[in-house]
This record gives sequence, C-alpha cells and structure tokens, in this order.
Amino acid sequence: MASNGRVKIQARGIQKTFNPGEDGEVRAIDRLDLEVYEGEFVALLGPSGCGKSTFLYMVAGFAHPTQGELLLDGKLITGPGPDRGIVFQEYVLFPWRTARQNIEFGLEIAGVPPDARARRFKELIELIGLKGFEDAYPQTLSGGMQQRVAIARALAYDPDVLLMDEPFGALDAQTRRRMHRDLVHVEEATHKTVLFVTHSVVEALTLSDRVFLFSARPSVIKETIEVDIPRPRDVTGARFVELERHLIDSLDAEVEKMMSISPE
Amino acid sequence: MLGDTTQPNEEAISAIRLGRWKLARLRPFVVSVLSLAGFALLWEVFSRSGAVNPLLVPPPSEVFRTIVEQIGPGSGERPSYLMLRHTGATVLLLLAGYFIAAVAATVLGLLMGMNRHLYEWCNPLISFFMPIPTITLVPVAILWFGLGAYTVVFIVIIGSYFPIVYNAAAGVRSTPQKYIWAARITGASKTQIFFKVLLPSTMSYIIAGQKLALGRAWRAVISGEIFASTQYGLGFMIFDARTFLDTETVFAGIVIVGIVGLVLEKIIFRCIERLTVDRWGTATAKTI
Repeated sequence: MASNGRVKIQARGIQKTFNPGEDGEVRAIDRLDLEVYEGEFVALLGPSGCGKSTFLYMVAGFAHPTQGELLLDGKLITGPGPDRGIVFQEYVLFPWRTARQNIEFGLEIAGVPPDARARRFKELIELIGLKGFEDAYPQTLSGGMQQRVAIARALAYDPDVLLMDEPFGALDAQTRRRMHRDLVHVEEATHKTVLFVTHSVVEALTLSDRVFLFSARPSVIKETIEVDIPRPRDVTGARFVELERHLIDSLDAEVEKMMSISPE
Repeated sequence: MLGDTTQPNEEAISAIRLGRWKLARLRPFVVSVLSLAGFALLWEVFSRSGAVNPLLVPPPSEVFRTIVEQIGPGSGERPSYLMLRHTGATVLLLLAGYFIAAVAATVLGLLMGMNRHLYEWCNPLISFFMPIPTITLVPVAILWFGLGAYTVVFIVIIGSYFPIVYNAAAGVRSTPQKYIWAARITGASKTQIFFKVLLPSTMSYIIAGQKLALGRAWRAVISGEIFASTQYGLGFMIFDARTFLDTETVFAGIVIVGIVGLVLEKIIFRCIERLTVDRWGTATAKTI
C-alpha cells in the first residue's frame, strides 16, 4: 500500500466554525494543513469531539470549511461524489434492502446493468468475506457483518478514496482485530486512498501508513507520525510499542485539554 | 451432533414441546374467541331473563338470525342480499374517500417533510384540525353537498386526511441524515434519493398513518351515513331500523360494523406490515 507520491487530497488552511456569530459558536478546526498521497492509508487520530470526523465529512463533501481550501485531485471539493466512498461507525445500511441490494446501491445509481452488477457483487463478497449472507436483511446480521456490507457498499462503484469514520468503534475487540486483518487485505488488493478516523492508538498504528494526530478543539495537526513498520504488524513489536507509548502520551495530553473545555 | 446416539425419548419430548409451542401460539386466538362467546352468552341470558325488555335489548341469537336472514334472499318487502348491499355501499364510500385522502395527504405530508417552510405553515393547521371529531363537520357538509354520497365521502376524506399528513411528514423529518449522505456520495440525484431512500425510509411512518387513518375513516363513514345517506349503507340501515324499533337490525348493523372494521384494521394492515416494516425491522411504535 505504498503511495506513488502523487498528492490526492490537500487541505490548506482549513478552518471550521459551527454557528458562526451566534451564541453557540464553536470553532471545531482552527487551522489544518495536510496532504494525503494517492494510495496512502492515513489515520486521523484525536480526542473525541476534536473535529476529525468533521474534517472527514468535509472531504466527503457533506460539510464545507468556513475558511481555507480542500482539494481532491487538485480540484476544490464542492459536494459529495462517487470518486469517494464512505463507511460510518453505525453502518448506516438501508434496512429495507438486503445485503446484496445495499452493496449494489451505488452501481444502481451509476446505471450499471444488472448482469454487470451481479459480477461486481460476486467479486466483492469474495473480497470482503460475505458468502452466505447475500440475501439477508441488515437487521439479521451481526455488527461485524453489517460493517462488511457497508465496506462492500462503499467499494462497489470503485471510488478512489475510501473515507472511514470510526468504522470499528462499535465492534467488540475480537471482531475488530479480525476486521483490521481483513481491511489490510482489502487495501492490498485495491490500493485505495484511505482516510480512517479513530480514537484508538493501536488501531491507527495497525492500519495506517501515516497517523495525523489532531489536537484538542479548536484542532490543528499536532504531529504526523510515519508508521515505518512492515505489515502484518505485531502489536507487541518493539517499534510498535515505542510509537504507541509516544502517541498515547501525546493523545492523552489533548484528551486532558478537551475535558477542560467540555466536561463529558 | 448427536448422530445415532439420539434417544427415542428426546424425540417424544421435542414433539410434546412442539405441541405446546403450537398451543401457546394459538392461545391468544382461543382466548379471544372465548371472550367474545362468553360476552354473547351473558347477554343472551340477560336478555331472556326478563330483567329487560327483549325488544330493546335483543338476544344475540336473534341478532345472528337477522344477519343470516338479511344476507340471504329477500322476502316480502325486503330485497335480496340487503345486508350485503348496505355493507357494499359503506365500503365503497369508505374506499372512495380514503383513497382520495391517502394520495393527497401522503403527497402533502412528504412535501411538508422535505420543505421546512411548508411544514411551518401547515403544521399549525393540522394541529388544529386533527383533534376535531369528524362528526362535527357533518352538518356543514350536508349544507354544502346535500344529503347523499358526496357528503359521506367528504366526511371520510376529512376524517382520514390529517393522520396521514402528520405521519408522512414526521417520517421524512426523522429520516437519518446519514442515509441521505450514504446515497449522495454515490452521486444519487434528488429524484433517486427520494424514491430509493426517503420513501422507503418513511414507509413505517406512512403505514402507521394510513392504519390510523383507515380506522378514523371507518368511524367517519358510519357517522356520515347515519345523518346523510338516503338509501343504502350500514349507518343508514342502523338509523333507519331505529325508526321502526327494529332493534335486531340495529344490533345486526353494529355487529357487521365491528367485523368489517376489525378486518380492515387488523388483517389488511398486518399483511402489509409483514411484507415491509417487519422484515426490515423498522416498525415504529403503534400510534393509538
């Protein structure tokens, strides 16, 4: 999953303020500059409520920066589009559609004919590991399975960029480890540019090429860590533990600051 | 797992369990039948006990005989299949009014859900009109449309309109933002989002509203007929029979109204729900 050095996503002086000029004005992001390369897997790590999901939604085109420029392939992001796919923490599958119909949603929208949809669907269930659940409704699936369907739905129409908003946050530890392994496999097969929001240091280090550590609100990038460990990564390896120690200390300092802003 | 070590005993036990399970499933039905039969029996005894005038409180057996008689061929002045004609007339007016309301109100409700201004302007009106008992409007409707079918249909429309609007609008408004986002990122157009996301996501609310509306429509059609029908309809039949002190027909009408209402509310909507919201796991809490 090495990148080819081409800039895929660029954020220049991004600032985001909610309810500007009103009583409830909150500055979520103060000033954000970052670059993500094509084919790179980056983790956006930070304390809860720091604005990392907000940033992800801006890349998705659901929200817009108050100030600054956000570029995808050198072009200003003006709204959502099928060059990006998204996976939410709460899966957000359409409950009235079966797993298959959920996965084929984007293909339907793109006007792909049914036989081509079926072929793509077969590839995806092989890749994501969904055999035997094709025609199940989401409510009958476990959390892990639902999230697999959601990942397949996001990949179905072959977007360049995969945006993941704490996708494994609601899963139990065992399922999460399994999903990590499978996501690494998916990434090796597809070479997507991935932005992965998390507040788990281990998760960030297990998955990503680089970790952007967000500061407490209003956020800036506090530091950027290159994860120079070959995959599959051993969470007990010396370098892993060293980076983990460092990131936990750095993150904890920000969590402390967040606590003093909003007592949650 | 057990292979050939299965003991015959276990099969017998599971057969009994299965039997019990089936019985347990039938239980609510059996209890319902017994409850109604018990009530009828008590009434029968009461009616024939001499404590009341059987002319005013006819025994259920006589009411039942009247129903059978009036469903069948005519005799004397009574035309054939009279009960079916009355029931048919009522159901026809009900469906006419209900479908007009269902279409018009669903459209308005969905639009209100999607447009904040429309919602803000229409919601006070709905909040005002919804709790007014439909029967209140019968005198006005008679002045506007005269005696007859138009008045009854109008009353049915008014009776069923508001719960549908209210629920459809609420359904759209409670569609999770992330459903819309998940669709928008695939490049879905507004029309596609409406038909592929908004409408199915609102379905459980729409069904709840329609169900409530049909119940209200049924009440409305009967009350409309009592005052405004001139020849056929269960409401007319009941009111007309009263003039002749024909209490058996009055009660026969009440029983038929109860049965048809039950079929409309319980059976038809149960089937729709099984096919949709039950399968999706999105059924909303029952409204009344």
